[in-house]
Amino acid sequence: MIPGYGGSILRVDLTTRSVGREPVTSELAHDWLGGRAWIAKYMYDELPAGVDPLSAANKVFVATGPLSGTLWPSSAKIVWGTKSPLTGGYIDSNMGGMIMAELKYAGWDMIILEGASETPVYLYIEDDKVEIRDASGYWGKGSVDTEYALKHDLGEDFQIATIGPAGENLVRFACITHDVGRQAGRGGIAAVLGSKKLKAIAVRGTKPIPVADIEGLQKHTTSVIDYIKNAAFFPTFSKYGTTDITDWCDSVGVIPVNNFQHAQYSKKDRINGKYMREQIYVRDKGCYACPLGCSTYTYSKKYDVYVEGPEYETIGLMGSNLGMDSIEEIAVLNADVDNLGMDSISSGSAVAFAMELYQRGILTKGDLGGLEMTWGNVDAVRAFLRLIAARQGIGATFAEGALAAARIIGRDSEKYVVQVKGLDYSAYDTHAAPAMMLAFMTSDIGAQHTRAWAIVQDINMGRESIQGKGKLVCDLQHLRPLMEVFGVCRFPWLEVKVDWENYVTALNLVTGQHYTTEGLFAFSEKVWNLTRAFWTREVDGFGRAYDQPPARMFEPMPDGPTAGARVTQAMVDQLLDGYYQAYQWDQNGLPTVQRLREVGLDYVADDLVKRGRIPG
Amino acid sequence: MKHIVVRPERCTGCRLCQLTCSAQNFRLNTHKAARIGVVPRFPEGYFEVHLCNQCGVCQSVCPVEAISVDASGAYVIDGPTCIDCGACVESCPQQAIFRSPASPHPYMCNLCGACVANCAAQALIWEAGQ
Repeated sequence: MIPGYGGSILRVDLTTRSVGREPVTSELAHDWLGGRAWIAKYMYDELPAGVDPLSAANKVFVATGPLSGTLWPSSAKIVWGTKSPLTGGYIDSNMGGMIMAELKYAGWDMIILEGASETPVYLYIEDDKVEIRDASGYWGKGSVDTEYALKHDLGEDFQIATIGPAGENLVRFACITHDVGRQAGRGGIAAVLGSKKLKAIAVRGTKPIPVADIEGLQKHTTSVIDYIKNAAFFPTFSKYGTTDITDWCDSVGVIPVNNFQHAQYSKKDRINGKYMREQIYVRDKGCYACPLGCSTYTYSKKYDVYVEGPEYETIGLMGSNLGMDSIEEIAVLNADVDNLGMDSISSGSAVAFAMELYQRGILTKGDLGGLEMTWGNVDAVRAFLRLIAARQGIGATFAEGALAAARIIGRDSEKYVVQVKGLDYSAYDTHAAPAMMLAFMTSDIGAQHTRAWAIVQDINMGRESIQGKGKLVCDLQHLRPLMEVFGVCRFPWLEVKVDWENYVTALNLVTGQHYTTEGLFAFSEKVWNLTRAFWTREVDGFGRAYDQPPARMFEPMPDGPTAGARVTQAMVDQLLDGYYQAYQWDQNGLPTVQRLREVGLDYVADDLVKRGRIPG
Repeated sequence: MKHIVVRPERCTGCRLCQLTCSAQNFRLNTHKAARIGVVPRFPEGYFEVHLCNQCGVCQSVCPVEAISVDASGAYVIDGPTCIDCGACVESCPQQAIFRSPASPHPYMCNLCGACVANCAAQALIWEAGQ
C-alpha cells in the first residue's frame, strides 16, 4: 500500500479485448507523482515515434494524482492524454466531477487504453472486476444522453465518462464528457477513443484511499476551508464562477468578438454572469470535495434545454466570438456541443472561422450547406455544428479542425484561424497582452489558457512591455501544471488565493513523504522539458516556427480599449528569446542535451540525439 | 439540544460533508462511509440531502430496543444489542440510516458537527432545538 494511491494501473488492450494489472511502484509514485507527469512519461516511453494519432498504435492515458479523490479541497481532477489528432503533438486535458475518486476507490490510479476494437464497446470497472462490454446500444447517442442511459442501466452510483457522435466520427476536436457537464475538452482525445470504438468508461469502487495522516489532513482541510469561507473573493466566485470574468475581459479588451476581429462586445450585459444568474440559473454545482462550487447548472426556457454552464470560455468562444445575442443562445449552443461531444473552445473557433470566411465572401451560402453563416445566426450555427459532428458535406472539412480546414480551403484563409500549433485560442485576445500571448505560444498543448494565465500581470507590468515576461511565463508554467500532477483544481489557489504552501502540506499529509516547493518546481521543469521533447520527437522541423502567434495578432485592433494595438515580429522574437533563455533551451527553442541531463532526462537526451532531433 | 439543519437548495453536491464525516468518524478517506447522504438528481438539477433530524421513528420501530438517545441528543444504535434486522433503515423518513463496510451495524448522524465546519455553501448549519 502506498498512501495517496489506489495501487494499480489498468492496461486495456481493445484489439485483443484483454485487461491487465500493473502495480504502482514506489518509484513511479514518488519520482513521478501522477496525473499529467505520468501521462508525459508513459507517452514518451510507450508511443512509437511518429504514430498516427487515429491508429490503433496510439494510446490514451487516463491518470489521477496523489491528491485526487481525497478530502483535500477541490481534489477533483483526472487527466486524459494522448498524441493529439488535432495538433499532432502532446495533448493532455483534465476534467473535474466525481470519476477520479471512484476510480481510486476501485483501486486504480491510471488506465492505459491501447489497440482498437472493431465494434463499439465500453469499459466496465467495479473494483477488481473489469470487463470490455458491448456498447452497440449506446453508439450514436449524445454524450450526456449516454451518461444518463448508462446510469439507468448500471446504477446511479456508477461514475461515467463518455464520447458523443463527434468522437465516434473522429472529429478532431471531440471531447470527453462526465458528470453532466465536466469535460476533458481540448485536443480531440475523444476522437482517439472513437477510433478505438470506446464509447464510455463506467466505474464504481468500494475501497477507501489510503492516506498517511487522515487526522492531519482533516485538520488541515478544515483550516483551509475556514480561510476560504472568509476569503474576499469567495462569495463572488462561488456564485458566478468563471462567468464573473466576462465584464472584466470586456472592459480591458480581451474578450473575443467575431473571430477576434474586435475585443469589446456591445451585448456584454446580455452574456455576463449576472444576466445568466437572472435568466437561466437553476443550481450551483460542485466537483468532488470542492468548497467553491463554481459551476452553474442552468435551464434555458427559450430553448427548453438544460446545460451545465456556460463557463466563460464558452461565453467567449460561442457567444461574443460568434456575435450571439444573449446567454440563452450560448446555453443552447453549449448544450449542443456537449451532447455532440465537441470542445466548446475549438467548436467556437471553427464556426467563427467559417463565419469570417462567409463575411469576406471566401465561402458562400452554397459552400456552407445552404446556411446563412452571419454573425449571431444561432439556427445556422446549430445546423453547422451538426454537419461537423456527422462529417456531412462541408462539415467534414471543419471536422478536421479550423487550421486543417483552412489548408483544405486554401485561398489564403489560414490567416483567419486563431490558433497556435493547431490548437485554437482560448477566449483571451492578445493584441495587447504579450505575456498571455507568450503563454499561448509556448503552452505544451497549443493555445490553452490553463498552463499559464498572465493578463493581470500584463496589465500590471505594462501591456506594451516585453521585459521580464519570458521569465514570468516560465515561472507560471512551473506552478500551474503541478496542480494537474497532484490531481487538484487550480481555482482555490487562483481565485480565492489559498496559499501554494498549503498544497505541499496536503501532499505530504496524504503521501507521508517530504516534498518541498523547490523539489516540486524542479520536477515540474522536468515534466515541461519532457513534453517539449515529445513535440521535438514527433513533429518534423519543430522549434521556434511552431511557437508563433496567429496572423490576426499582427493586424491592428480596429476599436475598443486596445484600439491600434498590434503585435510585431520583433516583439515575438524578443519574447521567445527571453522565454527560451529562462528554460535554458537553444535559440530554436529545442531542449539541449545538457539541460535535459540536468533535469534528470538523460534517456530522453540520448533518444533525441540518436534520432537526429537535437545536436549531440 | 442543537440540531443540524439541512438547506438542500444550497447544496452543490460536492460531498465534502460525507468525506469529512467518514474521516472524523471512521478515519477513512471516502464519502461512502458517511452518516449523511447526498443524492444528485439530474437533469432536473438538485441534490437530495439525507440527514437524521432526530425524529425518533427508528427508536420506535426497533424490535430489540437497541436505539437510545445520547447526551448530545443524537440517536445511537448499540452494536452488541442490534440484530441488524434493517427495520430502522427501512422506516427512516429521512433515509438517513446507513450501512457500509465501515461498521457491522447501521448508523446515523451522531451530531459531531464536523460536516458543518466544512460545508462552505452553508447547506448544513447548526440550529438550537426546541
